[in-house]
Amino acid sequence: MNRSPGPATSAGGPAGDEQETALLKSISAGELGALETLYDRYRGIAYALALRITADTQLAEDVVQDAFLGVWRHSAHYTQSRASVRTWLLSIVHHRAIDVVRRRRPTSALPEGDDPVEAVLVAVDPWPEVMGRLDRESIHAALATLSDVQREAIELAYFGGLTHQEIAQRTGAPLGTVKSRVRLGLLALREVLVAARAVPDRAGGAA
Amino acid sequence: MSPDLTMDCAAVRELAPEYVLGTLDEATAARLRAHLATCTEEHAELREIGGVIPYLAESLEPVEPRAQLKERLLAAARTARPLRVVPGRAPAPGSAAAGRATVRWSPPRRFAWALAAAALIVATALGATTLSLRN
Repeated sequence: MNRSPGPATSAGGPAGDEQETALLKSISAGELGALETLYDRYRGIAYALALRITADTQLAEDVVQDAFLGVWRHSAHYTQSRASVRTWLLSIVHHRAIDVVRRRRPTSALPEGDDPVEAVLVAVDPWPEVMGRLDRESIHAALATLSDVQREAIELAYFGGLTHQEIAQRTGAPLGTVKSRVRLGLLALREVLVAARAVPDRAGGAA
Repeated sequence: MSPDLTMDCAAVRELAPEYVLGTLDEATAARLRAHLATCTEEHAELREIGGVIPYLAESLEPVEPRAQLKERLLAAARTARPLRVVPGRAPAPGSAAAGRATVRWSPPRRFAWALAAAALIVATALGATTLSLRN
């Protein structure tokens, strides 16, 4: 269970990880071409995530730029991370985008950092994917097995940046109910993703 | 900021979902990280549920950003060089201070951002020219 890398043939397997680590090494050496390669590889998913969270094209662009600039300037942080480069980058995008939408909310008081990207990098704690790369269909299928209320609670937290308390207010469910929906939902999702990984040919990395 | 700077294992387990989903306030998240840095327990629950978080992002269909974003990024990157790790000062991996003390700036920050802004203006102007030529 502890081994996160998938088979060597998948895009997220050890071979892919080595390539990515080499790319990051080039980035830390200041090779602009390596940053460009990383950007071209991940701009679509990074922008999709930022756009889903901010629901604003301008903010989403700012978030993506900040995230890649953060990787460019702070790639030394990556050696301390246990996740793939892809996951690390998406964690930064996620954290930064949530930060942006929470700052927009009048109710949340967040401290103004002098360098928000650096603050994000210190705070970000990406977890290795439990099953290596899975295609989108498998992930959608896994999400579809959750109950509607579990999926809603998880999505409000992850894509909406809502705390459990805020989800309770939004949905009218008691706080304790929200807590167990999120916890049980995440555990159930893990079970299904593990099962999806066990099925050959469904688990190839999407290039 | 809470005056209570400690957090026990039960509290970490309780807060694990909000921590991995990134919705804990920063002060609480920092206390949780401080606990993990010194705790002898494995806290496998964090890895267990944290390991599914990347798939939430991966459930999204990629969306192509505008081409100008790449120009903006590269223009900014040209003036803000990567930071270097200072040898021999790395804190233990996973410690709350990890990374913070190990890097230093190449150019002074204000200067770098002024340069980045200047480069951005040039890049935008160039982009606008290219666009108008194309149309």
